[in-house]
Amino acid sequence: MPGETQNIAAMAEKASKEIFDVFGWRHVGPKNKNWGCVEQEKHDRRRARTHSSDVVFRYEDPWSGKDVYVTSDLKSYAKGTVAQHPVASTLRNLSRAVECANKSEEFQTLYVDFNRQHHVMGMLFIYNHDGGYDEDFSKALEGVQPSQSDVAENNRLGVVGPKRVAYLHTVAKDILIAQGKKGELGPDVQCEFYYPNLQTIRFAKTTSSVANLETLLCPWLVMRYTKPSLGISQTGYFIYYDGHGSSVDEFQYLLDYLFKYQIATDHVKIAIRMVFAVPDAPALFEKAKGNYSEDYWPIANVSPEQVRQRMANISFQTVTSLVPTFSEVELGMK
Amino acid sequence: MSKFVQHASYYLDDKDLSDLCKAQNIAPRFLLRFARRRGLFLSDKSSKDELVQGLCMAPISWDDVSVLAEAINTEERDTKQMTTQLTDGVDFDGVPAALERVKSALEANREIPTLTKTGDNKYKLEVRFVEMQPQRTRPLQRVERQVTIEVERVGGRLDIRYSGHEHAKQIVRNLVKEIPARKEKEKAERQVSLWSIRDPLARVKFFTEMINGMNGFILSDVTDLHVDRRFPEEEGDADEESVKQEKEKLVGLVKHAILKGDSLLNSEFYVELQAAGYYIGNIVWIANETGTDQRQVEFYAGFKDPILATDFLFDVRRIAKRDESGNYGKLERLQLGDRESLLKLVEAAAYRALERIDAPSDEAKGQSA
Repeated sequence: MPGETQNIAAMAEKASKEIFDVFGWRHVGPKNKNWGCVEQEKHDRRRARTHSSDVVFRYEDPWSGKDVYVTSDLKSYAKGTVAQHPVASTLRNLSRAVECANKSEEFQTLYVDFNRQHHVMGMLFIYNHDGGYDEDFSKALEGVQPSQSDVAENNRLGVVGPKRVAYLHTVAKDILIAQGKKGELGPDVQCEFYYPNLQTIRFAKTTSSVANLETLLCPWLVMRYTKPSLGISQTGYFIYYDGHGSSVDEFQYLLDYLFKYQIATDHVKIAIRMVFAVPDAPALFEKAKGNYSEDYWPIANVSPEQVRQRMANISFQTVTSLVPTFSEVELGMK
Repeated sequence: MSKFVQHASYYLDDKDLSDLCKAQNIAPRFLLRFARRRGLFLSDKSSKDELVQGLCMAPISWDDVSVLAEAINTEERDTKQMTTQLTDGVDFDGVPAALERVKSALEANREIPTLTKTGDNKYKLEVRFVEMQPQRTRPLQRVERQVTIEVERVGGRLDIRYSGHEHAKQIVRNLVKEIPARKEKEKAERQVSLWSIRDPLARVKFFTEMINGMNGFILSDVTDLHVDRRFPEEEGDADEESVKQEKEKLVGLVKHAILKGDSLLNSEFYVELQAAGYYIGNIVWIANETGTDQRQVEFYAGFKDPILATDFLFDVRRIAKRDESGNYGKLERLQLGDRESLLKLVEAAAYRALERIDAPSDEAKGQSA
């Protein structure tokens, strides 16, 4: 199907350029490539003896320090038709592909740098080609049982559904615009994603140019920037938050994350940037700042003035959602 | 009911989440679904620890916490009740106002009370409050609880049944103080207490009278017994030497025991324990209904502290229906309506049993005469 092949290639190119490049992912090896299954009996591959990779991305995982290869399955469909698509079987095919990719010499020869420690993950990228996204997809996804997706031990898959595609595309564009000549941060800025060490978990890197797959699926993404200002480098953060901001509690909770991991310190500007914010979100955010200050100040080893100043440095900003156009045709699930 | 309450100004970090998942025995299936909500598919062959760690590495939003809370907050199974009765001297006209005063005091304490008139002479006070439990893992230290206090006039008596929780007990103490007495008479209160009973056989008799004295039921089996042989020390009761001697006597003896099985009251082991001076502190029994329904019901009764024997707790645990061939089905949790009437039966049987052991026996009467 040469037409579909071309469309997949074009969609992969656009998705790479407009989303994943910004998050530090690089596509490697051939696109839309079939390679041999190494678990034919287990994967019931008597007829089709291969797995396919529409595109393979590589990044250095800030959590583990290993190279991660993401074998991706790119889909495009029209709004309202996702329920007709066999999401479970698509996921099962992908999880089997990931299981083999971690063992297959052919896959490794095509895509992997043998000199570095590595691991293969899977990504199902599903895009609504007629604009927007619909909620049917989330329901279809929740209905998939672990036995149906059949993810092998130590492997994992990420599903970037239509809403997430729109969200990540908007975030990526926002980062690029902010770094543009007329952007908020300007071209001299240095931006990195920030991974504060946790109580029991130490990451390989706490700052990285990479936002890994798990981070792209989690509720907020912390981007730290450093820009020279009158010879002194100034640090600040963009927190991209995927919530709706419809309650004071959700903002209070996010504020404690910022204080707990010492992101909110003196003289550091933090912008909470939201794509899906409800109209009341700015007012609720201000209320949350007040509530949190009351809760935080008595237990923190800082003066009320410091708390007030830190809070004044945290702002709420909305980011206009963009509708991406990666493909204009149906690239159905197999 | 008790609920896991997360404070919005406290972010759950990886350790908190890990502790929470362990403390609440959250199933791997739930963790897989939790990950799936975000679009992350983990392996169902992974261990629970691996799943928890996989989820803890990325931030968790308030929305995620709400999903966790919903999974954790299931109906509390501890439904034991307590009882007190105002047997005389109550100015019944003053009861509604007394309840209102107690309600206002609770509101002032930032609790959420709801007062409902449930019948001509019946009221229900439900109170929601947050209890701090500092000994628990950090995310579970704030627990939302609900206790219920039911007040019912029965003839010239006021029955108060309430949740077996220390806070409910305190509310009832305040309510009893607030309820006015009639001008000509002082209020009289009674509770089920065996504190003053120091004869093990008398304590045993209380329980056997109670389980055999349930109106409309015949005792079928005793399946769980907590026995003890210790009694509370009374002030000025004994000098140091005699306390020391008593303690020495107890060395090498089983102080208390829990027996589980069938027909426990007839078991050889229990008979031996009873003969050795052990008394019953808690009991679970099954009784068969004699009326038209002919249900089989599992009851519980006992004292919070079997030695002090002051806080009497009782419960109706499960119920089984009888099929056409006369066999009982599986014991299952029962409906609310059934529960209330059955609880009243246990309560009534307990007070009757108490009267019987309080009353001097004929033999004793003869001796004193």
